[in-house]
Amino acid sequence: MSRHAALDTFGRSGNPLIRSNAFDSTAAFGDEKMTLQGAVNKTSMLLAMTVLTAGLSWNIQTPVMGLISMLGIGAALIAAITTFGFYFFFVGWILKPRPHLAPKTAPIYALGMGFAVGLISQTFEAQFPGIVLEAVSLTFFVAASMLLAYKTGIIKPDRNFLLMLFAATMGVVLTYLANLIYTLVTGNVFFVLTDNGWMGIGFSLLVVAIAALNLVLDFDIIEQGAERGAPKYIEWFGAMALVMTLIWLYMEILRLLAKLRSR
Amino acid sequence: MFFYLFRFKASTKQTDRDDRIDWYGAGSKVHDPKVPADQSSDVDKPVPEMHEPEDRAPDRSVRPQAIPSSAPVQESSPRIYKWLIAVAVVLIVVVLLSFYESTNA
Repeated sequence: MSRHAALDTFGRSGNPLIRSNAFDSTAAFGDEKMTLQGAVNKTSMLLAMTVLTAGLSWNIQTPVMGLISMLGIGAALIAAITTFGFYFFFVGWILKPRPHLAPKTAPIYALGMGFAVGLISQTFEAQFPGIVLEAVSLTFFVAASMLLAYKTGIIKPDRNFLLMLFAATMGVVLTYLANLIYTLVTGNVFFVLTDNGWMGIGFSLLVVAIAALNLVLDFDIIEQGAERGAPKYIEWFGAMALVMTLIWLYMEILRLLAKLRSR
Repeated sequence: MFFYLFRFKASTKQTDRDDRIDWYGAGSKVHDPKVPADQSSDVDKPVPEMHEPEDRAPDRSVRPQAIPSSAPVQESSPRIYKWLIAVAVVLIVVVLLSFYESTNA
């Protein structure tokens, strides 16, 4: 039984995004069990796909490639929403999560996001030579550190952790959404997102920390799925969630490094 | 290094905890051979309706509407709202400071 009595209420929350046993209804009793090795292999495959299309959009810059990239990014967004669902506060699930679709949607997501990663990385590299290598190295160092901290039990994700991280992640999502609306209306960008002063760097550091902590939840989903013998498709689902967080972490580290270099 | 570490099982310090997040449902037997292979279609299954016996026709003006036990609870905990309000306040402060700095720059 949970030691956090107050959080029992949270556990019974109607919010299916963050309540416990999030995959309760979706965990099928398949013949094949998921394994840790399977999830590792799938993560490697998805990352290889991302790197492949990132390399394409980096090297080939033609109008056709631009169109393919846009289509790829669109497909990646649709694949992500189809798999993880779309939840809105006070409204509930607009689109329910379908983890069993992950074996099909995860490769689409990885290939599609690769185009975005390649385009953005190329833009940053043109401004600050060598920044991409630094960002990639830092991303994997951070991920490895978080993995080590998780595996050894230094970081123990519980419901309190989930609650705080969910709120923080939603805060970042809402900030980016607000910025998008602000940009569409005024043509400007929130100062804190582009500022290379203490506030902009502090904000970027905070977002990097939130993205890094999200990795812990991905590790926990994969580890627990393997322990409990979850269906095989959870390997793809866990790998997709992990790759999604890694891409987010990479983008934020890239932004942070760019702010530091432009000072 | 990342993939090397990934292959190892987490320590018992991590796995043998009472307060773990229960992603797959508490005490659920994930592999039950008696259960049909694919229940993934259950994700979109509509919430079952609850009907009361006709011979005990209730006075609907008095009794509240019955809620099926399998239906998801709709109200969210006040705790999550506290966190969201806290995050919203921090964001507003950050945005205001951002405007303040940009106008003074």
